[in-house]
Amino acid sequence: MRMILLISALTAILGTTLYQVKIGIDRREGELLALERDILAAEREISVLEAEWAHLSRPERVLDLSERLLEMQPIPEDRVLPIDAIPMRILPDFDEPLADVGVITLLPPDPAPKPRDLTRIAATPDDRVTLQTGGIAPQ
Amino acid sequence: MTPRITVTSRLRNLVLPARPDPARSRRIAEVRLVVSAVVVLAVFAAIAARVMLLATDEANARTAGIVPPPKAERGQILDRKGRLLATNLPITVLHADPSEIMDPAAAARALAPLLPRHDEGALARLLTKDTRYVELDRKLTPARHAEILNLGIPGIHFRKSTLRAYPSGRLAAHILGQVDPDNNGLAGVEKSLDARLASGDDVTLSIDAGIQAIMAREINKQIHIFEAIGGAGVMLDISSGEILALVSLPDFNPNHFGATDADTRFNRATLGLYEMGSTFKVLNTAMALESGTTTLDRRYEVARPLRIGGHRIRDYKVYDWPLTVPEILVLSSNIGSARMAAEIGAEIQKTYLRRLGMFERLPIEIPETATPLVPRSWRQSEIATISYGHGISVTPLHLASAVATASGSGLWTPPTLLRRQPGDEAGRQQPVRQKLFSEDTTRAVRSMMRLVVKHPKGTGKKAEARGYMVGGKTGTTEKIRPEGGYYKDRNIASFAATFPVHDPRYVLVVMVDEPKGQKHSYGYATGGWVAAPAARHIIETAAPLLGIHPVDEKAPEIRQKLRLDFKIGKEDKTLASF
Repeated sequence: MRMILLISALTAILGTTLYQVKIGIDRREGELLALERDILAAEREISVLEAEWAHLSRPERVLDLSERLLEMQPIPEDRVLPIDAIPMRILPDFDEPLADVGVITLLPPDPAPKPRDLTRIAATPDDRVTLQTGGIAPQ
Repeated sequence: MTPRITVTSRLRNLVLPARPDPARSRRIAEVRLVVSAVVVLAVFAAIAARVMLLATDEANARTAGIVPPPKAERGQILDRKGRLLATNLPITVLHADPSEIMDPAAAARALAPLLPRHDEGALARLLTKDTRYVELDRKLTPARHAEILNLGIPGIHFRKSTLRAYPSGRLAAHILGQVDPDNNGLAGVEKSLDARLASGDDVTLSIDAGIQAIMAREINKQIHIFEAIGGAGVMLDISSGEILALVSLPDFNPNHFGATDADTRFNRATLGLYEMGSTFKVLNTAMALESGTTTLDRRYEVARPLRIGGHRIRDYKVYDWPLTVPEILVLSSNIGSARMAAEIGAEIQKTYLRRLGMFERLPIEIPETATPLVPRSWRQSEIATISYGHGISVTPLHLASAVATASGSGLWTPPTLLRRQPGDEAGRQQPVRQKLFSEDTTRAVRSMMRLVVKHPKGTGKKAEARGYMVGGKTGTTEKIRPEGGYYKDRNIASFAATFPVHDPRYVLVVMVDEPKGQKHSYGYATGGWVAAPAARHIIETAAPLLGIHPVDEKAPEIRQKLRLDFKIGKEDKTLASF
């Protein structure tokens, strides 16, 4: 009798667990399906947007727009130079406070900027202009 | 102990049943209990087994049925830089089942204002048809969809579907082709690569959408200026055989394929057969040099028209001194070309033309290809006329492919519409290449083509795009009458170009169909006036996109790659000093 009770209890526990697992799987499968549907919908939307982008950026239209709005012209041959034709810039002495390291020019830390007169609109020669050419220090 | 069955006992049993034997009835009860327990257990076991089965493998099958697995959508078509040329758009198809519609007249009245495609009468006819399916509209907008849904007409259904769309509009329409409403390829790449596209694979073409658009625009301009009926253009990558641009005009919008006519759908670049005229002299010169029947300074008498087997071969201008081979090409002498071809002979000429692909359809990835029209018998007159592009009709693509061989690396490479990449040939057949011309020959041909454009007497001066080292050859032919002979007033103007000539990378062929002479062209509608300027504009605009840098022609490293020391004309000026 005890054996029967034990087995039936065990069966009940196993059955309940199985049921719980099954319900859990169903729920997760539902979630998975919903996600897959969402992904599909998003992919469709992306492909529509891609098609719209391709339509808006079609060369025919870009050519027309650039012609009407930018007044672009083919570049004449005397305006194009190979990169070797550009003279190399002169490297500064390494004794100078500004050392040129490769392409990055190291500048000393900026002093605190002067409070600018915001009422003045046009630039005057007094305005501080920082030009980084060949590592030459702005004076 | 069995009671005696008598009439009286039976009667008594009717009124007062005999007392059952306790031991016997217990046995019967036990048997009944066991039997019913077995039945109940069996039923429960069956239910349990069924529940177990439902919970396991079948569950997946059932739930999967909720969302039908997405069918592989038709593959997209992309240009060589990955720009979208053909894709699929989701659409809603509105259809009806006439047998379910209770009041077709009322339904038609309600639907008519929402469906601009049909009027009320047509709708009513559709809705009373003796069928279970009538399609009312494709491409429903979401708003329309909701409005129709709100009408609540029974028998009106919606179905999600996809529509093949060509977002770049008319760009490359002839190459892409078309599909039917069930997405089966009907023409172009859509047809020839239908199986690949239908299985969901994307296809990357060799076409560059930018260059394609530039070419279409420039040829269109010339068509309008010269009131022509059409035109075509091809740009080929010499080394790989890839077609970068292939234009046939007039073109159409493949999104509205139904509204096009046959002439518009006709692909002039791959299906149209034309006598290409003097552009063939490039091939003739290359053949003569390569087969050793001539040398660059050999001279030919061209002062008087040539009579070969009933044909009278004339030049547009009379040159009263014997012309050298470069002069024949630059001044475009038919007589000189015919004399050169006579020395080559029929067999060699035929062999070269065959190897240049002039006898067959080109193996490109669209079904719209044509087999060239070649003479049936190869007599002296055919040898002579073919040398300057008459008596043989080929497509502009045939010409481009042949010129690419004669002025490029000397290798014939089958042209293709699919992108070829160095690392990408694993699963694909390597193009079969055949060496036809030596480097010496192609260099001489390129130099002469350069002079056609550069020399003051050259016919292709209007193709000069400064810095891009354009070499080319013009061609003008009269169109063939279907009943025989030629139209006097209907021309084909063409130009075949190679650029840059010091490092040949691309070949361009421009062809304009039936241009009319204009006042500003002094009545001329020749290759030099009509096709050459288009070639110039295409090269000027496209060269920066192709990564070609303009060069200084006078630089020694450029000049040493060419032979420009040919003398053209009687003046004692060598061209080295232009």
